[in-house]
Amino acid sequence: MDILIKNNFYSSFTSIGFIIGKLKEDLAKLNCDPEKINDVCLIVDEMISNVIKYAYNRDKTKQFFFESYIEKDSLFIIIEDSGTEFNMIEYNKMPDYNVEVEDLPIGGLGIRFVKEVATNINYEYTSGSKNRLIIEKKIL
Amino acid sequence: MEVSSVLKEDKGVTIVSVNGRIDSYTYNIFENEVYTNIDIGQQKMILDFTDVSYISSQGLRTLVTALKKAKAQSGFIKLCGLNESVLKILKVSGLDKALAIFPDADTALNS
Repeated sequence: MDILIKNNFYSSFTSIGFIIGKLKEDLAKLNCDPEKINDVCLIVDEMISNVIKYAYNRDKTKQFFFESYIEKDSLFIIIEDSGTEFNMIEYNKMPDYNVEVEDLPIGGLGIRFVKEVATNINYEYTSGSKNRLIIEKKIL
Repeated sequence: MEVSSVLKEDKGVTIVSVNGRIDSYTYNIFENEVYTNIDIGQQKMILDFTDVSYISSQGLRTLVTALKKAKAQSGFIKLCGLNESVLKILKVSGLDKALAIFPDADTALNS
């Protein structure tokens, strides 16, 4: 198991920039397919954005835990937050874009994207009252 | 991420060239440029995504809002130069059905 990142981060979009930058660099060194690198960036961006916006209501003093490691041919991403219990696997709402421009819905796509590109997703609400998400993405 | 706008006066259309990733960290740069164009009366736009490597749901949120704002002022937004990654995102979201997508800026301009 190669650990790429393992740390607590403040709930800020700057953290997303740092994490994505580090992962892109590490995955490029492994000659990872650029499309898979994009998928990883998407997963990180969408999931941490949701933590910042919805779990923590954009409170920059709050922290989330982030870990990513490579095992066999997959990248694993673990995100833990202390927001209200929320299981994204059970979230299935999908905006309808088959409408007039004036009626186009705004938002509601992040989880959908992650489910589309991730290889596997596991969720648990821990005994320490944390949302713990483990997302696997086959990269090699 | 970098964004620049060029007004094609003969056509009355502004071509907005975007370079980089449109994600939750950078979307506001894209948003500012597009919304400002609409606010100053340049609500007919072609977004050239030839150099856009990736767009997140936040970027799509900005796109949808811009589309509504432009339409409300009798304008339009067309997209061109989408790579496979960006096209995939639009197709997964279903937003490809609501957008006018072209291979390049010239085709979009002459459509």
